[in-house]
Amino acid sequence: MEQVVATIFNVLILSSMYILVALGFAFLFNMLGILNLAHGAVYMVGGYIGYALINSAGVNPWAAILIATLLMAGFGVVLERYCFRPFTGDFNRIVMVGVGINVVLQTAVNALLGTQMQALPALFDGYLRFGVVSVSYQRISIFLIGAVLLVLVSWFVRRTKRGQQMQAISQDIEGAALSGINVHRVSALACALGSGMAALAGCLMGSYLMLSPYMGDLMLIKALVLVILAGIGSIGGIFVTGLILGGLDAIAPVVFDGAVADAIPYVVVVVVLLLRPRGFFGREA
Amino acid sequence: MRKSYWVVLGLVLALVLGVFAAACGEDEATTTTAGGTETTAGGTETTTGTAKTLTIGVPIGLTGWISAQDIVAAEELKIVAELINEDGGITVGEQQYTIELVMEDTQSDFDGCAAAVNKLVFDNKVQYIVGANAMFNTVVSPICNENKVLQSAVYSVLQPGEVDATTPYTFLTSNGFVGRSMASIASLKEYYPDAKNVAVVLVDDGGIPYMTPIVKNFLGAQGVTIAGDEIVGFANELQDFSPIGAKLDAIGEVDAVLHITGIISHVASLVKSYRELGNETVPYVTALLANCGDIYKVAGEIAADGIFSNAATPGDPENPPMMAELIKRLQAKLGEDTAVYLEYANSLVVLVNAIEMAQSTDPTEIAKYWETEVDTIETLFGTGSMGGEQTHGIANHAVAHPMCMQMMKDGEQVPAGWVDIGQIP
Repeated sequence: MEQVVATIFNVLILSSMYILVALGFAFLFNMLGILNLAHGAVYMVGGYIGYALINSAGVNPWAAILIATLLMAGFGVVLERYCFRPFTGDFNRIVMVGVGINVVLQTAVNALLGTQMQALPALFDGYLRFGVVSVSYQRISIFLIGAVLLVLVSWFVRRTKRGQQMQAISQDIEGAALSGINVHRVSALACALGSGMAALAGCLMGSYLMLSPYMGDLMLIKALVLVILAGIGSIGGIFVTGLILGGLDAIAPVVFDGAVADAIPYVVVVVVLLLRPRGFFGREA
Repeated sequence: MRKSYWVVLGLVLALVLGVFAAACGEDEATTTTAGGTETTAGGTETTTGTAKTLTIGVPIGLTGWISAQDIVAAEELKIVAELINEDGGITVGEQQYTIELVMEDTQSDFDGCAAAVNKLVFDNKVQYIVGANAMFNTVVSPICNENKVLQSAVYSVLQPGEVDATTPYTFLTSNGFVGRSMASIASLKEYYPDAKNVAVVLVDDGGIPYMTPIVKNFLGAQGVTIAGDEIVGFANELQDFSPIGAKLDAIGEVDAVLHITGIISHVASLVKSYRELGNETVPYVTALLANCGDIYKVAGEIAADGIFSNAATPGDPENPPMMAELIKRLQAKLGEDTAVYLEYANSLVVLVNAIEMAQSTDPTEIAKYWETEVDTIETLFGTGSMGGEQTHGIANHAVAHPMCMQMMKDGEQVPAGWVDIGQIP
């Protein structure tokens, strides 16, 4: 029973973090066809900024997470303006720029801090115990924060003017521009939003797990998998595929051993794509 | 478009320069990096007719998931090489040798490790290798033995072809998981004498079928059984250990958890995940060179007590002189809070002593002498004994040295005494 409850929480937490990171990645990918391979590094650097603010500057953890989120959102604007916008339409160059930024950020963090074991402090101490089941407030809080954010992002994309403009651009960029939508401004906003969410997820996961210069690599792969499984153009689909992948990642290690457990989620992804190449909710080409 | 291009280029260049400025810092002038290679001459010049240079290759993870540990290990190696050279280097016959280390980055994966070892053996033409760490020995050992390169292995996961009857040139010189686990259980028993039923967890890199009978054997000899009669494995690259914590918790009531293989990030994450499920008082014993303080940093208050590891504690009065000096220089270079690992450094010390004992620089002669004539050998941790026939299927290829233990007690990292395990079975 305890294992079931623990696994359910693992599913929910992992899913919410994957969705947070993947949404940011999806904004740019769906809207402008930009494969932002620096997204994992943004997630990682966000976590380390949060850590540095808390440990070196003595900032309150909540304030540190907010500042890290805002800083990386600003970095996202710079990324879009100077690293992606000049190469819009040139897929190869965008990929190389993303790879370059990822390597530079990763190497810088590894060189400066890579040998130290770091984690953000727990946001809440203590446990909620009911019967033999025990769940830490830390895990509950991370899930709740992730869930609230996802609801807010979902509301923003569906109900606000800017969110609808993002959807319009992802459906037809030329048509959106002709309609008077400032594509560059909306793209910058999307990148800021995506980077901010990735940084926030980095801080939360840095508190839930630990920080590592390479923590972004795996998260980038998860984001890519989610976006492809959901289907090009589908933002809502990411919520569904996030739950599926989070579930597989949380359950497979419990049922299977070691490397087999690691491979199972990707086997499922490959099978799904073989059967349905456009993903669950993707548009026909 | 053109202006933006130059702006981007300028940004990238600035970032790159910034990285190099931060990374180079106050490094010695003798250290160079190019495509993952580092060379150090230990501050001694080579002159014909006086001291010659003995080049030792080191495949080590300077990037990737194991770099958090191996970057520190690389610094420890450089310091030990300096200490050995300051002490006169190696003397074979009338000839003195200074040590030169050539490090190649394994990039924390098998392909990178193979490339690194091949470069050392075929390009750098080394005759001696120290390394590698973790399960990478499965790659290093066959290459060394095919090319008659003497290997001082840092670790073994007991896979065929690592340290066995087919590897006459490979010697496991840093206790390995068997020796460390034996020391950890001995230490656990000292503080928790009634501990009998122990959950066992380790990295599942394909070695569990080979390791299980060995683990059952040495645990049984110490009066301990594996809880649930099954070892719990996890993937090396796993980041979220919550499912593994849940799996361990599902075993039920245990007297302790023994974490046999992995790196410190695995331990810290799993301690957190396991103890958060209501297992705060279950002792967590690692057979890793993982600073308890670092585990506490990541896991938090939940790891304030009952954590054991095989790690040297700076300032422990029982630390042998060379170890104490190494730690002192390491802290001066990397800061007081630096982790201390010592396994690579120890393997270098043992290799150097083996060369001096054999009084030869020929790898084949040294290997033969080591296997047949050496019963005890000096290590960084004290006097070590040769053994390992039952575990590895080859006699006298595994060093068992005294093991320093560390523990967390009331939020403080403290020495937990030294354990002499005798011989690797």
